Amino acid sequence: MARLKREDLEKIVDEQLPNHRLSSTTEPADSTAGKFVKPQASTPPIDDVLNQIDFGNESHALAMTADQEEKLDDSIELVEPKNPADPLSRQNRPKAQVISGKKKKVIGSQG
Amino acid sequence: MADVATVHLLDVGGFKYGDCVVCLFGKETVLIDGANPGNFEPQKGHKGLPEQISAVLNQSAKALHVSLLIVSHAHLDHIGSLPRMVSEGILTAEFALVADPDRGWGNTGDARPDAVLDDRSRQLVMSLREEMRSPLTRDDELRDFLSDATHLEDDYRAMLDTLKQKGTKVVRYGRDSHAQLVKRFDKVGMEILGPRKEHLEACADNVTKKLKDAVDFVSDMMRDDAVSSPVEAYRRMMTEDSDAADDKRAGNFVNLQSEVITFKVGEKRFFFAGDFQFNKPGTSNEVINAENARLQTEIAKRAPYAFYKLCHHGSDNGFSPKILTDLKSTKTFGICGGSDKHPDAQTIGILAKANVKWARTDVNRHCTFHIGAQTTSIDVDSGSLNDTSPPKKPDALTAPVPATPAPPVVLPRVERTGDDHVVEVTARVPHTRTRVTITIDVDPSPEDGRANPPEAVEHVPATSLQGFTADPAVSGLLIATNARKLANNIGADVANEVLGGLRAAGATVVDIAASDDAAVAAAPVQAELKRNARIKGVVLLGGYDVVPSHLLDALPQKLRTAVGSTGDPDNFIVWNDDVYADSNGDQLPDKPVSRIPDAHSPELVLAALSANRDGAAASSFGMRNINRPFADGVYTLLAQNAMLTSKESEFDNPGLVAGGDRVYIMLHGDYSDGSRFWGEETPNDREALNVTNVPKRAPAVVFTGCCWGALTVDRPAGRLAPGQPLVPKTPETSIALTFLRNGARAFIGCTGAHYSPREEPFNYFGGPMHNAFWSRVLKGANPAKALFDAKDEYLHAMPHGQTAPSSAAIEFKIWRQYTCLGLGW
Repeated sequence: MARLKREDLEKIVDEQLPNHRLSSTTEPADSTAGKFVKPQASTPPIDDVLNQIDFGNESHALAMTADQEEKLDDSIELVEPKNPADPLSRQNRPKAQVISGKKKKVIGSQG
Repeated sequence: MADVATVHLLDVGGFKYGDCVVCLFGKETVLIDGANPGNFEPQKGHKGLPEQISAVLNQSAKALHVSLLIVSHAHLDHIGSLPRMVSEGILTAEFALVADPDRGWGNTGDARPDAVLDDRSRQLVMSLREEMRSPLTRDDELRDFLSDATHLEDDYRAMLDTLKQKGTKVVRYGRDSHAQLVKRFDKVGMEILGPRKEHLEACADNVTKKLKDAVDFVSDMMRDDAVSSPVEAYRRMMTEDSDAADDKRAGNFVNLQSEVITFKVGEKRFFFAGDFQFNKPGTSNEVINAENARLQTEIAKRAPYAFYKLCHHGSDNGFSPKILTDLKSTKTFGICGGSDKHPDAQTIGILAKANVKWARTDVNRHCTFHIGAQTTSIDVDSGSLNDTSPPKKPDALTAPVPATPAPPVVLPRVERTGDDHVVEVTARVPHTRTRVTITIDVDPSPEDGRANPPEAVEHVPATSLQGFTADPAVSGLLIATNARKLANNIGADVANEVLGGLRAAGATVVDIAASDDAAVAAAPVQAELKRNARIKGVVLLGGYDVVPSHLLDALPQKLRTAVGSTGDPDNFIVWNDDVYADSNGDQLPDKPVSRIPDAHSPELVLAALSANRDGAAASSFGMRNINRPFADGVYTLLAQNAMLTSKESEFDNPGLVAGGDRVYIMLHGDYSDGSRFWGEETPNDREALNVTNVPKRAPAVVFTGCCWGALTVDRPAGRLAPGQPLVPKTPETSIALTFLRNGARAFIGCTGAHYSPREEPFNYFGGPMHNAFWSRVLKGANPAKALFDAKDEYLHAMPHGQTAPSSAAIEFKIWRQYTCLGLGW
């Protein structure tokens, strides 16, 4: 499922999280790539919940229409202060922000 | 006849060097440096600095004021106790001439090369700015040293801010003009001879370069070393990698930033230059060497001196026969020493051959130089003048740490006596040669009423094996542990007593297999749950090395596929213990699960299971990140007063005690440092809360929305590399474990990063979980059961309107990662 483009995300962060920017830090690579241990167990399918999730129409993912734009996935992006008072402080590490693909706004924050 | 001036070199005890000098020039009082952080408190027969300065200045030790405070350069053994003295309001000054922090820590601008390091590596990198410690240094001192070195810059910058706020005219040497300062102290002939700006810049550039080298070096070193504690890694650096490490040290370039200052009172001159390495600067840099030569010429021009403080604790890199010759008829020398290498034999040898007098604090302790118009005398607290003995070695030589673990110490037993104000403390200690420290803390009262401390209670948590009685709440619980591994971690005596006590109190104890696979370890627990339907909950007794936890993908496969790669810091993989309560094989828990991580601390285990936990009066404490207003709504369930917010509050606000019967914390956490939680817009970027804010008795239910707040090992599940061993956190490195050690019934938190809602009415992500938990606690549910039911409620309302896959994934993660630490019942 498609997500907002980086330039759109940058604009949203710029407008809604003053003094912050998208981070270039790469947070943990896909654990299946071998860098990290694979999970030992997974969460079983909870159909009552999964049935409410809009998984989009994968077969039309390449043809972006106005209608499909409504169904963009949300983005979880790492964001960091532009000019941290103390770059060594843990509180200035990049943190994830949740940006709604539908509302084009930040709806949630790590922490 | 009255002295023209008096110079006091204060006693800095057994630390490895340290300068603290008080000069009385008529009415002007000058304090130069603050030795080490540990010199603030009295130690082993040596007075603390506030008390010594108080005696010298004839002022209250709680309100010391000097005309001029000088920080010679930005090293730990000179800045030392000053930040604490300033932050606690003990020390004020009219003027302060201080080392420029920007240059002291290098010209790195925003791009600090060490910003990418984890805490352990940063400690090692920052230690390379300082003098290397002796291999004989004790672990506790090394631990303090590494911690102090790491926090020094923050503390120092905060100190400068505080001084300014309190009206001190602060002059950063080489950065701000010092013209007004020199004019103010013209009466005492103050001259700052240097070093000049270009020299300072050259030093700062080299500090930066060394910092980068140190980051690379430590990164390489730690890449092969996933398990060592910072202390162990530092010891390795001192021994196996000492040559390589030495090349990365920036110490000389920090020393070379020392201000070179003289005073002239009447006809008497006084000389101070911190740790300037006049004799062996340790660099071929032309700018630096040219300035060194110029300074030596200027110093010689002003000789002789009535008093000359030898640079760098009497090291041979600060002194030489030529320098002594340049000083002409200078006869009186002072050395601020310590233990280990300095003063060097070469320096003492040079002095011994000359017709001079010297005193040294490592032998003579407090040294007082009375400089009169005609005569000079020296008073010392101990020993004789002109002592030529080598410096003492660190205490470890005289009190070696046993090579093999000593028999377990029976923890202090505390009993009330008939006198309401007195408790009796008894401790049994093995007769083998060992070191035992017993600390008795008395809870301070808050001074500003900002936080509600716990009500006075009649018992401390039972930490005595002899007095251990299991909490009656364990009746009906299933306790799962591996007895042998538990015994390895907390001692066989304690483990046996605890397990026996639990059985006697009605718990079912299941000894699980010694397996690293949670699914294997859980099998007998699941079987017992099937057999006995009356079990009300499962309590895992031990850390992950005793009772393994699952690396769990929080997402069902379909959602995992849809979400793909995101910025979630854990990749939606979390530590989870639900498998132990899955009696029907549906991969979901059928009973509440809680865990008491042993943290290798018998004290923690005993406190968490003790019957002697007293309930505090129903009081609440709440603290949140200023950008998490949703938490206010949750907190209204608990209390009528507002939560503390990070903008206004930080950990060292007077009286900040995260205590009470219900504690709710919504702050930032970090997986690499569980000892503190941060807010946003906190003054000077300091943490909002840390382990010191946990009351000594914590009979609380604690619920947190802090990232990794319930992580009890050094690695989040999503960041564990293949083959990488897990290192358990300790109460000292984890707020959660500190709460448990201090007797909390439960600490509820996340094993991964948490997410908060930003849009009103905040009924998604973490918000509904917080509300559901506290609602149940307020109805009387035990915290383990309250969390179990809250998760069930949360699941049935998922995805709380968040139908996009990535946001739904966050809800799955919150549901799976919330964990109950502690007994929970």
